[in-house]
Amino acid sequence: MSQGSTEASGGAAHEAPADRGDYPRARATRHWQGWIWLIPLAAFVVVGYLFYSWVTSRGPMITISFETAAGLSAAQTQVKYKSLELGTVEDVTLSDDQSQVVAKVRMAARAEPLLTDNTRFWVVRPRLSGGLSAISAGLSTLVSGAYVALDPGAPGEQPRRHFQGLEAPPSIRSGEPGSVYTLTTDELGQLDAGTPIHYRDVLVGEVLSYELASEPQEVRLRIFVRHPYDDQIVATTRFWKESGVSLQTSAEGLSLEYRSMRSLLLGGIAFEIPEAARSQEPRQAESVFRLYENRKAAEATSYTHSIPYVSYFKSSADGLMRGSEVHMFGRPLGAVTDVDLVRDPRSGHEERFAVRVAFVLQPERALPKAEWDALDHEGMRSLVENDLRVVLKTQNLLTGHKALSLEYVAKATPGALAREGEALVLPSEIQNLQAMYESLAAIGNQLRQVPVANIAKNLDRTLAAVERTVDGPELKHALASLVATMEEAHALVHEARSGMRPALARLPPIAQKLESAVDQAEAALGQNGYGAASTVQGDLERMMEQIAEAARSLRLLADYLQRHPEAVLRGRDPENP
Amino acid sequence: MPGGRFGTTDLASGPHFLIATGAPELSVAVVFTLVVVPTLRLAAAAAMALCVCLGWAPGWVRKVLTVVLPLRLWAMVDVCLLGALIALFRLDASVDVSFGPALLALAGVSLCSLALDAGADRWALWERLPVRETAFAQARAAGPGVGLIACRHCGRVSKSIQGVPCPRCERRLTSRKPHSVSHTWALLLAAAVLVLPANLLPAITVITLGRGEPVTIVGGITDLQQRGLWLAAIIVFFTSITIPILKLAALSTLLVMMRRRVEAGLRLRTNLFRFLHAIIRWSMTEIFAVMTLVALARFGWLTSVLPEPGASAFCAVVFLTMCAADSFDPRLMWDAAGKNPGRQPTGTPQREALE
Repeated sequence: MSQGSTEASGGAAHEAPADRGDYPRARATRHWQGWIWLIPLAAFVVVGYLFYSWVTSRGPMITISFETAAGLSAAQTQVKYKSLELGTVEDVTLSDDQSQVVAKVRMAARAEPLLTDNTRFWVVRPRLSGGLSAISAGLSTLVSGAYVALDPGAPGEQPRRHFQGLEAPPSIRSGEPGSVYTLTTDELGQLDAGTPIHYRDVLVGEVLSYELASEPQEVRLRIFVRHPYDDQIVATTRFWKESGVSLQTSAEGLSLEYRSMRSLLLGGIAFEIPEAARSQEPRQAESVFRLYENRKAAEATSYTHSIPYVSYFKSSADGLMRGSEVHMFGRPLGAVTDVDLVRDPRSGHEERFAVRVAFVLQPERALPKAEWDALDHEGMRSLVENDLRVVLKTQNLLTGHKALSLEYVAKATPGALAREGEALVLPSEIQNLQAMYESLAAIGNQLRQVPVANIAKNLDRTLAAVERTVDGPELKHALASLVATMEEAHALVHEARSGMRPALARLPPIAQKLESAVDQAEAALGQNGYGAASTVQGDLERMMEQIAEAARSLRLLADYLQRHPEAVLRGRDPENP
Repeated sequence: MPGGRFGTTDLASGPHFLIATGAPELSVAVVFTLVVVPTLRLAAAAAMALCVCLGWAPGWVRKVLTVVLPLRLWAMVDVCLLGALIALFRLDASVDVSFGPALLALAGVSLCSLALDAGADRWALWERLPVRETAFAQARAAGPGVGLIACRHCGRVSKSIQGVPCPRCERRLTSRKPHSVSHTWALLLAAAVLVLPANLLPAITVITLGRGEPVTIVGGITDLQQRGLWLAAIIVFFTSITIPILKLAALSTLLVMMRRRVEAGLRLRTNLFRFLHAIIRWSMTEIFAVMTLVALARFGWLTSVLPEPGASAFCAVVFLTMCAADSFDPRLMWDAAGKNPGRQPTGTPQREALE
């Protein structure tokens, strides 16, 4: 193709060798023009390289069987090991016997040595869980979707291409030092696989899985605690559920506990070792522990001395519940463990219902060690003999929470300790408004005993006779005022039935009026000078005596009430009339 | 901007982040088409205007001008604006975008260079430059093989022979583009080879909320279409799929027809070539969209975009087809068809052109 131009340039060079423009042309046209074909060659090389690297980076095609295809999607779900992408699910189909799903996964070439007998696969589905990493990573798994996790396990002997996927993450990831324990709890709550486990707010492990145990009915959680924190798991280590926010109404009022944002979102499990147990040997892996509902419950059980007691109450135990406190002089000594409504088992009370309150006394809470045996059953016997009683106390008027209080009660109803199973029955004492109502009723009864109606009947009869016999204006006046006073007294008695206070206030003036009325009547009778033997005189005298007695008794009552106003509340003290 | 993550993108950050995300070749292409060529063209235009005013220009300036001025199609600021628009379409769902003053300035640059192309006639400017008739050319004017040759570079028609420098721009005179057919075939072949990885390999990886998957160019189009952005989808489909494929097919067809000396449809074929040559540059839309996405959407695992080898391959396809079109000389079609008296259709048109 360059032949023609070479000829042309040769001709030009001979004719005008001096011309500058001639030589470059000659040189230029000698250039090999085939270089342009280097470009497609380079393109071929590039494409060939791309194809080669694609082929070589493709590892083997493996199949993994799962129970469900949830979270698996073709061409999207990735297989990861230590967050490194090692393959992509290419297809998800049913197995030949239609019982499982089979994911076909194209692995990367570098994953080849990991595909052995011991390799395990499981699907990590999005969940709000940090696992062992921080919250941000947890959020990213939430939004990044499910992926298939790979755990190579110990170096295997035989390479494999077909795997049975696990339905739950394996309990121990290979190469992660730590121990696995089992926790039992009544309800799972917000716990889930991956729920973090904290020790003093440090992330030390996670929940691996959970299952419902049938006998006994409870939830069993498998947890993993990383080394070296598993050294903290000793026999007396207490686990409890940790929630971000707990709002509790207790006898102390409203308490709002706010933990970290992480536990608010994820929930969590925390544990603590009692101070005394620090030096204990770590518990072996696979041990079983109880998971308590909250820290308080966990701490309560960490008291080594718990002495069971029972008390029966025949009044309302509203506001008393499991966990309510037991005090002595305001110091916490124990907690209520159970509140039941039962038929009173004590002899002589079988026909009645009572509230059975079971509680434990834990001397560690408040007493020095030397005094601990004061609360055990022997020590309690002497305390009860010294009038120690269990009293229901309203602890918080706002919330209505009640607590049990151990108090020395003056003139306690005699009670004895009885045994009920392991527990001792402590006698209880009622101290509440009920007593006040009873004394008010007693006063009403006393007032009713005043024969006011009788007096009025007699008075009426006498007045009729007097009217018939006597017609003096003074006597009439005196008798009229007597009638009025009597009516007042009548109304008073009526009032006393409905409410005491205004009636009491009016008692002294009424008595006075009665007396002055009697004086007037006597004076009137004396003026008129009736014969001593007349029936009128006799009737009148009897009546006057009755009135005077009534007045006296009213005055006495008024005086007594003035001196002992508390009698209205407590009833009359029989020993101090 | 009220809260949230934000980032600003300027002309330099596009290439910068392309390098940072492992696509330096794309960065080079982008810098070449957005910065180097437009700047050179504007400078050349200014230099030429100055030379016209002075009525004098040194030889090397003329040579430089002949190289720079025809690079009109390689200045792609306007294509970049369309690409940025497409990128904003794609981001629209998750990102709030506000425009800075530089975008207006960029649009201004684009408009100016359009106006420059439309208003300033480079042939007319060349006309005004003084012609230096060399002694040789004058001496050769009546010799054998002398004919009228239009200079490819400055448009001057000289009575000269092949290979002699143009008396005005001092570039060698050639009546046809040298090695046109072989160059065109070679470049077309290279482009055709690269079409495969350009469409099969992912062009970008869009990582949204920590989850990302590589997307091919076709995947990007279906994504746009699924989100109801039909206009954007159609634009991307035309610029990224239709135009390159059409161009490859058309150029190959033209070359084959030329070799077979087909006489039919010469006018149509010529117009088709001119049309394709003018629009092939818009295929770079996809590359600029990728650049804008990479530069704009860099919010860690929230949203980030990474260029993938597919984009580089596609960019290479566009560049190669543009070069192929540049090296193709449509006049050879007429030569081959025997429409030019004195240019006998013998052998390959190339050889004949250089006789």
